[in-house]
Amino acid sequence: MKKFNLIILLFFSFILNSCTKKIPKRIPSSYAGQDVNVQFIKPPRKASQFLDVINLAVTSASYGFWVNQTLNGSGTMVLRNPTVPESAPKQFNRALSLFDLYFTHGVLNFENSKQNGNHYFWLYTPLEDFRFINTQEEYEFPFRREVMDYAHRLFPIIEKQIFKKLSMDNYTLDKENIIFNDDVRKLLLTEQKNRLLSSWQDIFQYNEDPNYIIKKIDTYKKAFSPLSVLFELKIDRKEGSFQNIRLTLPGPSTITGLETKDVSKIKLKPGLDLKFKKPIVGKFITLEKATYLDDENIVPETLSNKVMQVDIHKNYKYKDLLKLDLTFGSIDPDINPEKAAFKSKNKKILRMLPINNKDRSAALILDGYINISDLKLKKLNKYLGKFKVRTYIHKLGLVLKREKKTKSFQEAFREHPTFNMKLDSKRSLISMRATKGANSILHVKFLVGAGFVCKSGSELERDPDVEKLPGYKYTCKSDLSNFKDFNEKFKPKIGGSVTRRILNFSTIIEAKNIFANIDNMKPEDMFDSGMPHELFKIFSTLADNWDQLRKIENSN
Amino acid sequence: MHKVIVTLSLLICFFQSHAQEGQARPIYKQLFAEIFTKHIVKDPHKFDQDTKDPMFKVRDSIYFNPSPFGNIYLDILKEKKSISAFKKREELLSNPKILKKLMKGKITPPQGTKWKNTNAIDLIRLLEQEFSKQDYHSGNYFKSKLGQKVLEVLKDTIFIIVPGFGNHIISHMILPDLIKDINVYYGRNRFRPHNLVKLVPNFMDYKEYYGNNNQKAGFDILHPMGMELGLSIGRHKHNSQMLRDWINGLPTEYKDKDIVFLGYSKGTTTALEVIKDFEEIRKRVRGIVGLAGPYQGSVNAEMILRRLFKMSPEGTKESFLSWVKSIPSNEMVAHLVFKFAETYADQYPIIKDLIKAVTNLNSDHFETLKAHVEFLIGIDLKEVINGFYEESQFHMLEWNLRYLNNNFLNYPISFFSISFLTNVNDFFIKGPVFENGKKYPPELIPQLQVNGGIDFEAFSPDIFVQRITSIDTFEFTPGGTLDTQVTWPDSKPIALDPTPLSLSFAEKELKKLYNDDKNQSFFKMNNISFEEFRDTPRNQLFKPTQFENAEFIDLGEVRGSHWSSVFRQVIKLPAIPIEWGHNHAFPHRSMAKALLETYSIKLLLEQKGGEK
Repeated sequence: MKKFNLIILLFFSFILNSCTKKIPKRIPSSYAGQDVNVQFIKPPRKASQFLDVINLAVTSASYGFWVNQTLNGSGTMVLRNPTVPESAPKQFNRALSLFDLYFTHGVLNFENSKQNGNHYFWLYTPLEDFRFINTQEEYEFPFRREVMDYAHRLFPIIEKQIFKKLSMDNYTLDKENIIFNDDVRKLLLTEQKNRLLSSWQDIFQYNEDPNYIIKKIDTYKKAFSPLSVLFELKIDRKEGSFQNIRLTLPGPSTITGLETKDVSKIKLKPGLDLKFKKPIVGKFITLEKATYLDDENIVPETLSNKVMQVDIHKNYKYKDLLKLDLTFGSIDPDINPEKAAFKSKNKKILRMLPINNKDRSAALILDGYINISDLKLKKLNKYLGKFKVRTYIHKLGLVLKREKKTKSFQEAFREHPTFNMKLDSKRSLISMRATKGANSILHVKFLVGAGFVCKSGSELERDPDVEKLPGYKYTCKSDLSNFKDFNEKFKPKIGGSVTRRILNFSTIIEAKNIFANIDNMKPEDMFDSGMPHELFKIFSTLADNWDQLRKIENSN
Repeated sequence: MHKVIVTLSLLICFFQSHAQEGQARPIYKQLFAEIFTKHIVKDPHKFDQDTKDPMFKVRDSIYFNPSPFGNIYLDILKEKKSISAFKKREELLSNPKILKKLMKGKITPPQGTKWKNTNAIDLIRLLEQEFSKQDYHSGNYFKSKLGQKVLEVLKDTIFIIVPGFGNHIISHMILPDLIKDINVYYGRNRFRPHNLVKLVPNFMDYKEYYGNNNQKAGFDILHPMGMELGLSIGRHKHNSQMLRDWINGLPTEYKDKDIVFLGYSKGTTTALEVIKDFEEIRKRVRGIVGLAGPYQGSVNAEMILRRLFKMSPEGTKESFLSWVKSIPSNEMVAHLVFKFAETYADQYPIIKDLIKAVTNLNSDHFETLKAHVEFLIGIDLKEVINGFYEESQFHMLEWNLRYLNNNFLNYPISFFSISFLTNVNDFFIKGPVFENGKKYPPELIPQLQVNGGIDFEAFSPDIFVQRITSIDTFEFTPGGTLDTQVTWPDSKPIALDPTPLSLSFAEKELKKLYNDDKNQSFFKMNNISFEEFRDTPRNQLFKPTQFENAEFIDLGEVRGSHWSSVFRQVIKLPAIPIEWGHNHAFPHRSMAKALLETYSIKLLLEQKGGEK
């Protein structure tokens, strides 16, 4: 958690700078041909109210990180009998809960102040359509220059920023969220897709080139930076306050070659291929690895529609609850705005990006095998263990809840309650493919009876997308999903609604077990824990000398 | 195996200290806590305008549990998880029911007796009268009936404040409210006048200031300031010599007074040094009150030293000092400070950015800051390094082995300790939290304001600096119990600490001490083997028979940070008018009054026929 301190100290550094030093403007006078990020703002009635929100956000984040650090860093490095901190996921939940607690209390204060009735949003997005940008009014607010300097230090990619008030004809402020009009949405879709494509093209261009190390690292930042961030906050004591945060990011990537500690040997590999050091044991399934875009020959054009989206929703009526959705999907070029809508309480709310979240090629994949941990019949479990299971996570709907009841905020701030994470199967989109080999017809009949579709090796040879099991005459597969409209290749004969219910039910139980298992795992048991630290060191060392190095490289 | 031994010895300590509980109840701790709490309830406080419930100001100012320090500390150490240790300490020390008991009711007499049988009865009656009065006296304390009684009891005593680390560049007084009251009482300026000469606070001559009282000096509180005790981060030897000279230079009417040193932080160890070095002072000193005083050294000082030495090629003290010589003298301090900060940067990127921010300061501000640091550190680096060394746990253990005995402590003396304990949560949440969303703004995080500035009334540079300078100290302190600078057990005299030395020192460090010829008299006189030295609880290693003239009195814990518990605000930002700046909400006046009154009651109880 120490690294999160960066956020807090950077804040101070910009305060310090703002008091003492004039910082040159980072916004260039001409934007033509450059990456430009626009911050569209629906400001509050007064500038002071905008600062109130910034203050509350920074203080809440600091509270979450620093109080968690104290709770989990008391006596952990003493000479004898050091205390043990909570696991990384537990610390994340606690820090998030503390952040949420402080922010929630602040929103309550807003509801009882002149802030009541404000509905803000802030949209950060790449945009190069100057015809549109120029029609929008500049937005000035106190500390603008310092805020941007701070943001630049946090995310060096944030360099050229334009602040604009988005005129009211471009959106509608709904009771539940903001709805951008069709033209704006189309514009955002086009520009974000273009930005994603050009980012991947840049990454591929410099990935193998040893002559442009700085440019290479510069392009890598694009693989981890949000394509857009939408923050929305409505303060309404009567109708209910809420907050939505939506981050759209490129799909996950892996940095390889860090162990060499040689920047020129570092490479970015799109996707993930993480084999867990220790398998994660659930109630029914044991997971061995996580994969995302398992394709050696992937090209920028394929990557340009693969995105990850994080949605955080808070309804302030429920002070101890936070909803978090994690979506792995693809931007569907043919999808029309109507299709991009999703239902919420009998009405359709339009997404900013039309995302296909049922596309298996864009899902996060978890590979494992069946292992019923409570089953005492070892032979049966050994047989079941030969069923390979591939789980596709299209969307994870998570509910974070403070289970510990506190009578008042005063008590909650004293008790530092944490979030418990639960999977909401109704908000989750998960599909599975179970695979089992068979050599005898009898075995095939048994598997078909159990809902599998069995094909001989030669039949499968004709379908390059489906893996066949070596050493077996027949490969049997069964596709399951917890949602309708799933285009199963190996559809079981049991009714769709029944399998959906079974899958929903078992997913909830499984997720509970897996979360508990992950909570208790040490980070080094999951992945190579040194990696993030090394990565951070390399980036921060380069960042220190960024401008200088870039100049040298450009002059070459 | 070693873990098992340590765990077993901790368990033994736990049972032993619990067994001792019945024999020696910490009466002065209970007494001090009761008086302090009752004063907090009555004294004006920042929170009074928002809530009538005194519990908020009490809970934010005091930690209390009637059990002896050792029992509480061992209970916390038994916890295996960091979060459980944190919660345990809050549960034990901040229990609302226990705090409520302190707020209400009469003042508890010493065990097995009643106040009416003692000489302290008049003072106790006055206290209880004062606490029950609607019109509680909140003016000049020494003009109140209660204050007058205290002046009478302590008429032959003076309290001398011995300030701590860095004090030679600090313009502000410690415990300012009571200092102001006593100064006004004697017709002196509220605070000793000073001006800043190139950042150096230059104070009015103390002989002149204390030599023109408007009445005959009885009890008084005297406060050396500025460079009067020399470079405050240097060696104790120099500070103690200057303190001796300072005392000898006081007006004649103070010459025969008994002395109680109020040692704040490093001031405690300076006071220990002066009684060790100068018999003429030792025979006048009746007590040393350690306010967050590192009786057993400081983990922070030790860690700073280790980091400093690691910066040199060979990582030793000698190598460091010769490496330092290679740096141009005009750049040395700035260079060292930056290099030192960089040793944290890898692990704590926050520090890295702070360095960046400082280097980006405009040249005027940078030079001002540089001059401050240079003046703080001085020019003789060897002196500074030795100063740090003398604050280390290793040095203080050595000190205790050599001087905590009847040879040196040949006059009656009481060692008091008041520890400060920080809860980082308080840097964000202080005082009442209302259900309508209202609470006080955080002290640690600057709040931006629409006029382009920040809310300087809410933001405390003190809290910020203390948080940064203790960035990893909580992790290196058992149970995270410290005031950001000094750890809880370090602030207790070694004779009150129930843990074995093996908890704080490596085997080879203890062996070095055990084999040192200068320490042999301790081991031989007490017939102590190395294993006993390593594993025996410290309060049994240092037996009362070794120091028959000394008593060790724990006055408990207050809830605050190292600076907030005694100063109004140490760091004042340039160009910010004083009335705009932040002031710590800690009830300094209540604590100082409670301290005087507790000491007065002790004197009355000890007077011949203390029990009537």
